[in-house]
Amino acid sequence: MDTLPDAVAQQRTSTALRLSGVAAPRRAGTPGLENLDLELAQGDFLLVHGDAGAGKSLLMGLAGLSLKPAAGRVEVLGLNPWRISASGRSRLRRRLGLVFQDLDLIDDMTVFENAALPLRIAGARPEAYKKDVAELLDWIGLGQKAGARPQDLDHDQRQRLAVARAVAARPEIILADEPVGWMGPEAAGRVLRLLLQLNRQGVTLVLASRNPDLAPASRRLELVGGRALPERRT
Amino acid sequence: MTRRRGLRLSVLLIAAAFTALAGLIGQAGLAALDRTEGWRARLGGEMTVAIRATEPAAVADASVVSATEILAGTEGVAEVRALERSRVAELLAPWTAGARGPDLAILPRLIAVEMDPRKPARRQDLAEALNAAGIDAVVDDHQGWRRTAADFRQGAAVLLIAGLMVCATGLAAIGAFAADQDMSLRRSALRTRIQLGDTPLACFRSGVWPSARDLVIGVLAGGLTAVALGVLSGLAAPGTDPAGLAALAVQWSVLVSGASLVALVCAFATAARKIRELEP
Repeated sequence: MDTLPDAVAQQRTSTALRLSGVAAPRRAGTPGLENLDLELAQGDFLLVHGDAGAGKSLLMGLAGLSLKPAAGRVEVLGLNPWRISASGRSRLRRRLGLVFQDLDLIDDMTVFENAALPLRIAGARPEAYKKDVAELLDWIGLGQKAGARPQDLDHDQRQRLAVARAVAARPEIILADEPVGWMGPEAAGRVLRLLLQLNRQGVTLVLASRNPDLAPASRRLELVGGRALPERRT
Repeated sequence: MTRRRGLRLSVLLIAAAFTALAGLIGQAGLAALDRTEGWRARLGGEMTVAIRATEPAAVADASVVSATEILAGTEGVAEVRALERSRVAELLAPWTAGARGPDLAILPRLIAVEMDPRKPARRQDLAEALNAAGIDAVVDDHQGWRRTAADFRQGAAVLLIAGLMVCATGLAAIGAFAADQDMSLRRSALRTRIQLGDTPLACFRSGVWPSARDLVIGVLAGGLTAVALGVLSGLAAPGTDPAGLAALAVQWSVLVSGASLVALVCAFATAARKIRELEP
């Protein structure tokens, strides 16, 4: 099969995420998102903030491919996820690291298995990732809990596990919805340092939080009632 | 008992019950078909000659003797047997019911004529031979009885198919139910896996596997129960004959594979639909 010239390949992948005139359907108690435009290059760091119900989770859902836009166009890593096959969409999702607001850990699996799940889904062999995942769990403070089940963890630990799972497969984009909301200051600082370090290594990072001062993001987008206020860049 | 364990147990038991029922219906149906076919074949190879009743009985007895000789000499006849008066009374009992102590002397006399299977005589051949000898007789080629046996056979086949259809519907329903419940219980985990990039096919495999396993175990258990009940009740009597055992093994394999196929196809279709619903 022919490969694309470097310049084209570079052009194709330089935009990590593009939302053009995107609208998301209304959910119970939230107004939905209206006519949102957003473009993130690879390596960008965006903090999306706003009050509860402002539409942050809808935006994360659209970017994380868990929600189909009611209108407009979504492009992730150069591909329109809703115009490709289901298996193509699965491959695209493997390039994302997601921290869901409700964490979505799998109770039937151990902490280790949850953290290693993206690697397993990507087809990696257990012997290839066993050490890396153990190190990651140690670093995030869950090394002693590797054999426990998520329901045996407190919410702080569950949230750390969700972050570990999101970064385990070295994704190109990390989308984290309230990633440190339940953590103590020390654990939150540690997790944010990890995310910032990954961002410095070229990973596109999108954090959603009610706290506008959560992290020193280069780009900030405030949502109010489903509409985006003019973006601030630093 | 957890909900999942209770669900698994009920799926297993219901699948086993429907398979066992299908097995028993199948064995009973096949036995009925075999038996009616046997009747039909036997009736086809025989005719009955009725010598009209006369007074005194000795006249009829003489007619029976001559008729037997004539029939035995007719081409296409293998064996001729005159039935005793008491046997005739027994055979005709359903039609003479209520007549206390029937007067055997006024009953017709019956002669069973077995045909040569290679070149059987026709009804007309026998009638003509008897008429030529001046014997007042009626030759019955059992056509009416054969029609009745064929009707019985058709009825048995219809009942067999209807019974199997009911069981197949039950197995299909339990297959769909098992997959639906299992996928619902795993819905959150499967949605997460899809979000993390697992393919619908991989999710399908991991999601439907427990239901499929329970259904197959249930079907196997039901199949064994059907065979055991069939042997105990005499519906299936393979004996020690290798051919009989082989036929039983074939019937069991057909039952188990058919039941598994119906249940699994419905389970797979339901699981595939549930997986599709997980995609936004």
